[in-house]
Order: sequence, then C-alpha cells, then structure tokens
Amino acid sequence: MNSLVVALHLIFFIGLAFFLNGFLLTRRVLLQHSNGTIPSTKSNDFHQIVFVVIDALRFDFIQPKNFTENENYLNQMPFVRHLIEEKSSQTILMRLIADPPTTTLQRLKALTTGTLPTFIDLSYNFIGYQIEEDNILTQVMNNKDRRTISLLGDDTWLALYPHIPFEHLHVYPSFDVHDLDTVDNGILEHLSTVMNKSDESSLIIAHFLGKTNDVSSLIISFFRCRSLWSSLRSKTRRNETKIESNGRTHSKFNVDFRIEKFFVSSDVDR
Amino acid sequence: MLIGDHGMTQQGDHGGDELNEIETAMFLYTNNKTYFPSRRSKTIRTVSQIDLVPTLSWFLHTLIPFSNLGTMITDVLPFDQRFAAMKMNFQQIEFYFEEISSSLPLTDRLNELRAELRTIFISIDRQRNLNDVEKIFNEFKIEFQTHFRRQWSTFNLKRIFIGLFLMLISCLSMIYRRFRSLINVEFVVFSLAFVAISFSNSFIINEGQCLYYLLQTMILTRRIDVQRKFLLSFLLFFSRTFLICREEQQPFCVDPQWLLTKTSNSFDDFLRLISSIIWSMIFIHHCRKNDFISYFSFLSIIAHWFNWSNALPLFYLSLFCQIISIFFRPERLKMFVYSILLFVVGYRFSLVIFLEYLIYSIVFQSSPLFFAMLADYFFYATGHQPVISQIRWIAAFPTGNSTLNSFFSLIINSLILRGISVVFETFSSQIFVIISLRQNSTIENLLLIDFVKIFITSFSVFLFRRHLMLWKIFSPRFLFQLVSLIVKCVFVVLTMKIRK
Repeated sequence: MNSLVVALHLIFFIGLAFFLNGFLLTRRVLLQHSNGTIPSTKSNDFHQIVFVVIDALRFDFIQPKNFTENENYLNQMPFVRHLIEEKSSQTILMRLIADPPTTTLQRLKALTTGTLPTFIDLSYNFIGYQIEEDNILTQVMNNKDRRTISLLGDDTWLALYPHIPFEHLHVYPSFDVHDLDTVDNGILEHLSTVMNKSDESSLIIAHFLGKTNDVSSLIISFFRCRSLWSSLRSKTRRNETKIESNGRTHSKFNVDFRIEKFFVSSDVDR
Repeated sequence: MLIGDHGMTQQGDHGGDELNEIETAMFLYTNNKTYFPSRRSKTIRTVSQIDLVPTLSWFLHTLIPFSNLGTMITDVLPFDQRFAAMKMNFQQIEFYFEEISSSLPLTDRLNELRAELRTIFISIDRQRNLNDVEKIFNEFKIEFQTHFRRQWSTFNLKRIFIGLFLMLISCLSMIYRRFRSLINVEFVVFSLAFVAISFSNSFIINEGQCLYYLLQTMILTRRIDVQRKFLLSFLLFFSRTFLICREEQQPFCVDPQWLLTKTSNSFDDFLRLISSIIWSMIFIHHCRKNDFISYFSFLSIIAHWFNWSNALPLFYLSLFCQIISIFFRPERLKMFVYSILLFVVGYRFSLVIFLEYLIYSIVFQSSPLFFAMLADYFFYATGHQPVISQIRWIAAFPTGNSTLNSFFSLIINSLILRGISVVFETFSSQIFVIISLRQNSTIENLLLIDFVKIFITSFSVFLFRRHLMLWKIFSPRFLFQLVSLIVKCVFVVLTMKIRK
C-alpha cells in the first residue's frame, strides 16, 4: 500500500476520533470525598436502618389500589396497604422516578452516589465496576458513629463495593440465575438474625430479586420480630418515657435508651 | 426504607426509559410515631431517585456524598430539622459546583437562585419562614437537576463537524482514486440502498432481513450463469435459519430454539456429526499432506465438540504450535484462523461458516460491494445482533473440566484470551471475508466501502442525536460497525504476506 493511501486512512481515523470525542457523552467524574462535620444540633435519630431494594419494583406493584383488579401483579402487597392505612403517621409512600438507563448496576450507582449517568456507563452493566466516587457507604464507613454495614442478597453490591468491610455478609450470585427464589430465600433466612443484633448501630442492605409475595412476608417478619423483642424489653423498662434528642453522646446506655423509645411506643401501640 | 431500583415494562423488561421502567417506589416505615410530620394531603408525592441520597445520609447521620445531585426530600423530615437539612444539602452542592464550574457553565437563573439561597443559609437570614425557604429550594432543585441532565446529554458540535468533514474528504479522495474500478450504476444503486439502512430504526431492527433481500436481489441481477445464480440463492436462503431476534422484534420474531438452547438429544449429536464430517472434508481439501499441526488442531476441536474433557488443553497447545509454524509458512494462517473460528463459534454455527465458505468459493471474483454486504449479513446470520447485551460472552468460557496444571489454566483464564475469543466469535464474518479474498485490489475496495459506511453511519447518528432510540438502537450499531472496521484492518495487515 502506498503512502498516499496510508495518509488518507490516517486522516479518516483522525476525523473519526474527533467525531467520537464530540458525540460519545462522558461525564467528568470527581473523586473528591465530602469532609467536615455534621452540625452538633443534629441528632442521630435512627439506630438501625434497613435499606431494602427490590429489583424492578414498579410503582403500581406496591401502590394500594382501591378496587381488586384482575391483574395478578396488582394489590399483591396487602401488608403495605395495611401499614399505610393503620399506621399512617409512621409510614410514607412516595413515587420515585429513576433516570435511564434503568439497569440495576447504574441505578445502584445512582442510589449510593447521587450522580446522573451517561451512555458510557451502559457498557459496564455486566462487568462489575467498583465505585470510586464519594458514596453513602464510604461515608458511613468513615463516620465516627461507627455504624456497621451489612449486606444481604444481590452480589452486584460486592462488585461495586469490594472494599467495604461488611459486618454481616450473605450474598448470592445474581447474574446467571435460573429462579427468583434462591436469592430471596437466602436473604429471608438471615435477615431476622442480622436485624436482631441491635447492640450495634447498623445499616442493613437487603437487595431482593423480587418475588412480591416474599417481600410481603419479609415486611411481616420485620415487624413481628420487632414486636416480639419490644415485648421482652418493655417488661424491664416500662417507666422510661423521657426522650433524649441530642446525639452527642454515643455510649452504649444512650444508644440502648434510644432504641427503647421505639419499642416502648410500639408496645403501647399494641 | 424499601425502594425499587427501577420498574419494568409489561413484558417484564427494563433498561430503557418507558414510564413503566422509570417509575418505582419508596416506602418508609419507622417505629417512632412522632418522627414523620403529620400530613393532611393524601396525594402521593413524586421525587427523583437520586433525592434519596441526601435524605438517607441525613437519616444515617453522615455527610452527603461529594458528587451528589439529589435534593433532600423535606416532606419526610421533622419540621425542626428541615432548615438544617436543606442547608447541609445546599453547602454540599455548592462545593460540587465550585469543582465542576470550569467544565460545565451554569445558567443565569441557576446562579440567581444560588445567590438567594446563599443569603438564606449562609448569611442566616432569619426573616424567611420555612415554607418560603422550601419553595425556593424546590425551584433550585428543578433548575439544577434539569440543567445537569441536559448538559450531560449535549454534544460538542464543533468536534462533530470537524470529524465529519475530515472523514468526508478522505472518503472522497479514496473514491476518486479508485473511481474507474469501482463506480458503475449497479454499485451506486445498491450502495445507496445499503447505507439507507442507517437512516431508519425499523431498518436497523430488521437489518439482517434487509441485507438478505439486498443480497438476493444483487445475486439475481448479476450477469453470471444460471446454475451459479440459483446455487448462491439457495445457500443464502438456508443461512436464514441462523438469524436470531433482537428485543425490538420480539412479538413477531421467534428465536430458533435448536440453535440457542443447550440440549443433549439425538438431534444435537446429529449436528455434531454433520459439522465434523463437513469440516473434515474441508480440512482435508485444504491442508497439505505434511500439515500435521492443522489436522491435530482440527481433531482437538472435534473432540471438544463431543465433550471430551482433555480436548481443551490439547487445542490450546495446537494453536500455539500453529502460531510457530506460521512464522515458517505464512500460508498456514488461513487454517489457523479457521481453527479458531470453529472453536469459538461451536458446532452449530460452524454450519453457517460452512455456508459462507461455499458462497465465497462460488463468487471468488465479484464486486467488493457484494463482499461488504455479505460480511455484514453474516454478522446477523451467525446469530448476532448489534446490541451490547447480546454479545455472546459464553464464547470466552469454553466448558471442559479436565485436570489442567495451574500454568495452563492461568493462560486459558486470562482476560486477553477471553477477549480475543469474544472478538473472534462476534466478528467471525468480518474475519472470514478478509481471509477468503485473494486480491489486494478487492480488499482495498472493501475497506473503502467500510470507510464510507462508517462515515454515513456517523452522519446518521449525528442527525438522530435527539432520537428516543439513539442510545438503544443507533449508537450500539455504530459502535459495532467501528469494531468491525478495526477487526478488518487488523486482519488485512496480518494477511498481507499471504496475498498477491
């Protein structure tokens, strides 16, 4: 091939490079982490937060409908409806709009970093990609409150966060699955044990693949185990009603006392 | 805190931007009866999914992540915490804006709102009541989230135009050089039809079939003898069974199950047998009597097809030997490539490669446009679609649990080898056309057609940059065409020695 042809090919590829640079959208990723202090007036309100992700949970699956429609995917979460109606001051249901691409990896990234995606992110859906931007899990890990993080369910989280020291870890492969049950049953097996370890301040992440019936029973089990434990505790501390609202001290007594506040109130509720 | 990561379409799919896919839920429950403020309204509020991030950070008593673009869902916070929460969120966003402002300009309205919120939060303007503050904060949220969503889907038009211009002049120069040998009425008509596919998403969705019709038309209108004409037509007709569907064709298109599912019934054994017999004949026909390495390679492939566990290491060993022998006899490259193709493609699709082989034997001398269309068509007829999620990754993981020593498995499990397997499997048709063509001039013209095709596709994706299906249909196809071109160029260089 003579040099003219090579030169022309080169010009073509340079042009292509310019085109791709202008066309393929990229987002400048900043690797800075937030640092500073939380205002001292802010209280540490929640000793245990259970963050349940249900894969592909469409809004109308959970939304209580006023009439029984004939579809087999509506009104399948009656316990949620019960909670919204009976305990309306303790529940909130909101509609969430996700940004496309609506694929699990991109959405989990958005849910933990708060960032918006671009096309280039699309190609990493099947290859796990460690998150380097500042995110909720890293902030919890570096926070002086020493809240532990536990993970159950979809192992995609591990691919995103390989360096987080999860206190309790029960993950299952999510990619080449042949059923929806294995992951979900695995979570349910371990969830109550993990939740009952309430001597530690914790964030428990449970990512279900999403058989709706199981999620209903999950919520039921969550509250059953709460009520059971509260009845045990209330026998010894029924008289404590004062609520401490500053979060400055983190001794075990105060932490226990704050959980008490929840249990006492739910016991009174029953 | 119960949330969905995304929704799903009525068919149960997700990935796109249909309302069903982006609408999900957030359900909060707390045992603390006095945490959530009392609400009179029964309407369900709608928020962005990323708004969860600062809100969850607030619940967790941690700092908000640096690059967060979500805003506090103040509705779920007690009244006495709302001001502090919004302030913390605003400060975090301000820090982020400072870092990103050099590469991403902000709108005037956005800067106005920022200034106003600065006086509220930082100068501690106690005169405003909570309601007003929340309203301004909400307006700020809408303004900046919209701005960023738009910014990150905005193209750099200057660079696009420079790129298109450079590609155009190089293509025109190349065409001018080869004008007489290339351009005739037939070429112009068929090439217009060929590139027209880029300009409609319906054509792209059915590109396999479009190319098939173009090819059959081209065959029937060519001035070749009738027997060859009908033979070609029939061979092409049989290749149709190997087309697979893409998501957008779903209700109307059914995948050929025998091709995709792993079964071990007698039909499967029959396929293995047929492939083995056919390719044995081809290998015998092509290999010289003393070319033991190629025979050895081929036998190990057959053993692998029949699930003999030790076939895998033997095959890799044979490939290694073949590479060495190519240094001494470059003409063995062709058999080497055939070996790799047969291995990665598998016994079922090896039948399509056989059809390709027959077709190329019949039309050994033809218009380069015909070869270009054949190469593109067989991408579809080897069971592919230009969709990233339909890349056959399984080619990188050949099954075979034999007792390998650790050194061998280190090589076999390496990312490079896996990547090469997937490239070979996906672009087998492009590789096949390059090694089957004999004349340099045809190859040059083939590459020229590819360059023109890429230019036209670039132009079409630029034209459709605001099309709903841009990232789902047009751009993935564009990326596949780019990789096809690169693969072709690499193989042209590799096979330079064996061509006249």
